[in-house]
Amino acid sequence: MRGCHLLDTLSKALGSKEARGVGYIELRAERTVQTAIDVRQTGVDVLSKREETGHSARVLVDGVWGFAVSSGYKDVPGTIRDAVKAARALPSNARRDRAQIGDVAVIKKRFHVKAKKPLGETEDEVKISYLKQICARTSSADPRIVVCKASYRDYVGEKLVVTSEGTSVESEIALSYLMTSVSGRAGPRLCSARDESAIVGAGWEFFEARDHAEVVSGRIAKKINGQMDGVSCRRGSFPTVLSPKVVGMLAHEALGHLSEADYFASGAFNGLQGKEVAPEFVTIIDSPRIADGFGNISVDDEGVKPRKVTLIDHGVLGDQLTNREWAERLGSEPTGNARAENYRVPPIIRMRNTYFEAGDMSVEELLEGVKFGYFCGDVKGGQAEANSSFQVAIQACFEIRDGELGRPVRDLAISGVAVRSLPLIDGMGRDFGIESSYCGKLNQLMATSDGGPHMRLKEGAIIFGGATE
Amino acid sequence: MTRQSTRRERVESALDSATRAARSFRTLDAEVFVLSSRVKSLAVEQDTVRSATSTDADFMFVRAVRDKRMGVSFTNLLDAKSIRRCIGSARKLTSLTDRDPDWNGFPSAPKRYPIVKGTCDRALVDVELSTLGAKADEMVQAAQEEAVGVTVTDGSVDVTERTVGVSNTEGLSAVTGETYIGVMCSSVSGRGGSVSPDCPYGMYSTSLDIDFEHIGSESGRIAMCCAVTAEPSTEDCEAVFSPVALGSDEAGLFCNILRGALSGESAVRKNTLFVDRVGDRVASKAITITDNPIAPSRAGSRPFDDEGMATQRTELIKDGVLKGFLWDSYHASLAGKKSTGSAVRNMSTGSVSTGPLFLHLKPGTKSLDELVREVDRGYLVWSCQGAHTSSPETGMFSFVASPGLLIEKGHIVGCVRGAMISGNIADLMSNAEKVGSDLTDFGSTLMPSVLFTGVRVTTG
Repeated sequence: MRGCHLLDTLSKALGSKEARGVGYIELRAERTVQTAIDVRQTGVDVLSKREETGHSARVLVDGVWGFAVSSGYKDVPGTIRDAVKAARALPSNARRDRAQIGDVAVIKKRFHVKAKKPLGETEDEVKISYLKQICARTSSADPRIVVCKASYRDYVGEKLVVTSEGTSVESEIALSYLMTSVSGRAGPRLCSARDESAIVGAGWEFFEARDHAEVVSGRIAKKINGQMDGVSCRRGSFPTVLSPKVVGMLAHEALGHLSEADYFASGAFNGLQGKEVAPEFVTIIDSPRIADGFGNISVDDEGVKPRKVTLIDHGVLGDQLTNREWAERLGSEPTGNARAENYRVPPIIRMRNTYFEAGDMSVEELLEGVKFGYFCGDVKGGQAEANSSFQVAIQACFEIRDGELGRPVRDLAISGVAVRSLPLIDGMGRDFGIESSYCGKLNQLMATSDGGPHMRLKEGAIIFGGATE
Repeated sequence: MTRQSTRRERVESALDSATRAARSFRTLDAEVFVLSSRVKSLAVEQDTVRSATSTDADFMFVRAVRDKRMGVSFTNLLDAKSIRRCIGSARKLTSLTDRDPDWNGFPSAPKRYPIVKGTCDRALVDVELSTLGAKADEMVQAAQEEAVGVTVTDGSVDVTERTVGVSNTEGLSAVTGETYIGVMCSSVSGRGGSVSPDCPYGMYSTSLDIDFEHIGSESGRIAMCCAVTAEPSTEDCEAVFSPVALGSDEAGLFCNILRGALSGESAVRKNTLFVDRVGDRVASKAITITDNPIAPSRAGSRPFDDEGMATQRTELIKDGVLKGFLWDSYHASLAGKKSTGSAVRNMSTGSVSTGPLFLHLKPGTKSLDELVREVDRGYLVWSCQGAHTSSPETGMFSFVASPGLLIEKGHIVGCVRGAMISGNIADLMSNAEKVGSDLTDFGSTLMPSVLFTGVRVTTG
């Protein structure tokens, strides 16, 4: 079924008897093809195509959300009926706090992807050859490397959002993601490192022109060498300089999640609105569009036009990220942060591209004056809690001794409590970089970017768990 | 005709159509995996049941092999045309992949499958969302009743009814149905700058008699313990890890490390800290771990794995000694072993690897509270923030105890914010002193609490 026919099918369903008398209905449909390729030194491990078509209905009935999902597009009114039935099934004592949504501008638009080499038209042989080059180059970089795996995924297709308020949006999907992971053996000790790159709304030209095989293998080889040659990390708190990738993780995990309205209510920032939580030179943004942003969106999954949100404005706690329901509760305009991993799950509040704005110091100036500390260059995942506790696994870490980068450091994670760490930021670089990755929340994965400049924090801000020999 | 039989018939029909379509291509071997499910869910947010969901899903993966080259394809439509397309797509992909000289074909049908009792409960198929909503509300109230100022930040109830089938061109064909319920509740105490970490608790069951109130009150009780802040100090000390801290998918250390580390695939690739250590002591005598997907009435139990091989109870670590790894048929053949019925399918790509289906740590005799009472000075680690960043290859971990509750002379005295725990899983398991009796079913693991000594705690 082509897009316009599908749009007709969804629009007709909104006029069906199943939709009559329902306050709000939001229909979402997708037709996608996922290509998955895993390559190791030995050759292609997995080549997989996943074709999926389906739709969902989300309804608001008497202050309770109902949601239903079905494969294909044959019985959209039936899915609306199931969603209404789900919402009406909840007992009255489950409706203490009724959900409401305010008005938003109606959007009728089709968003296209402008790719020089569309992912769906790029032959699988080309992608396989690229991944094989990465594995071959990485494996030959150091004889101690025992495993190299390059995992590539792309998703192409289209998705639609149609609401009972008149919004109808069709968006082309083009998303690609590469994770390269390596293991190496330094004597009896196994080490591991990983590298990610990703782009949304672009084509294969991203991997040809920018993240080509030599670049990716060079990056990952450097990271695993640091792990194999690295020394153990000391235990305690030390002055720390963070790279843009780690700063991005801090922006995302420790600050961004706490500014999501559904987490804010029971989070560490509640009660601090309008108050100073960081030095004056600290500003944090969540934006729906930045250059090469993996979290870029044209419209959110409730059909709302997204806008830039300032989470911390020159040290002062700013706005929250909202969907329509939370915007209504807060008496504000929705920020366009309602996002769903796919049609099978309802949209929830998610970040897009979250970053610290740049300051005015050079990296050398940030390192200067640190007698002993750590430079954290790259991340291997992390997690945040409502109380603003954050944990970030680090790779590409170096000692700082007398203002200079020293020995590489292996296997470590850092942690802290953001409300205590933010005031201890004492320097912000004038550079800028971003990291593209997937964020998990309530069992939904979402493409996001995080970033910022290099940053320095005083002792007490970051805890190093240390490592045993 | 009941809904369950309809689902089963749909799966059997799809398996049959796909296998016949694959056989129509000469020189093509194929395996078909079909899943049909209905999930009824409730979501709790900020003390309130906010949404109800009904999800129907059918899907099929086809692994096709021609001249030892494999292609994988997926469809979520089980009509005849979509099935033929799926087979054709997988077949086409075989021309792009590399020949695997070690490929020995899909497995033949096993002589028999184990009888796994108690995996289907009619009450779970028939339960109404309204009944679940009332129970979810009881869970929230139970958490709130633990103390003033406890908020349930999020929670969920998921009832799954599903039928799974596998068939291949070697004549293997197996279909099974299962029902289970998963309930989760996460609470905090305090507000703003003094808010506690999230305190999650939950479990799976194959029957509806799951104790919602207990789940709520346990989550609320731990949140309440966080209301008092304890003085942090960096030290090596005793620590009791709760079942959540060891067994949950999101926050469990054993779950996140041992699933990969005990996989035969990792052993073949020499990519696990346990490589070449079968027969060695890798943990204290208190630790006995099996993969036991044939345990009756457990959400993780099933008669066959994701490539249709019979499941079995497999001893992995007995009294601290590594007994072996888990195997699917392909990696078993590479290592000269037999399949342990441990094929695990990647539900995104359809590829098959090896891992535990239901990892089971043998329980001891003491409750969690009794283990806590034995600690002179140490911590109760309720969940592990950042457990997913631990390494199955090296066994290294560094996470935040979330919450980390300080124990002095057998009593919890308060919560230490941001207590970081680092080390290696081999060292940690070697320092396991006592195992608790509080087995908790997390769907893919069955874990009790454990008291460890010499745990490395770092605070700010």
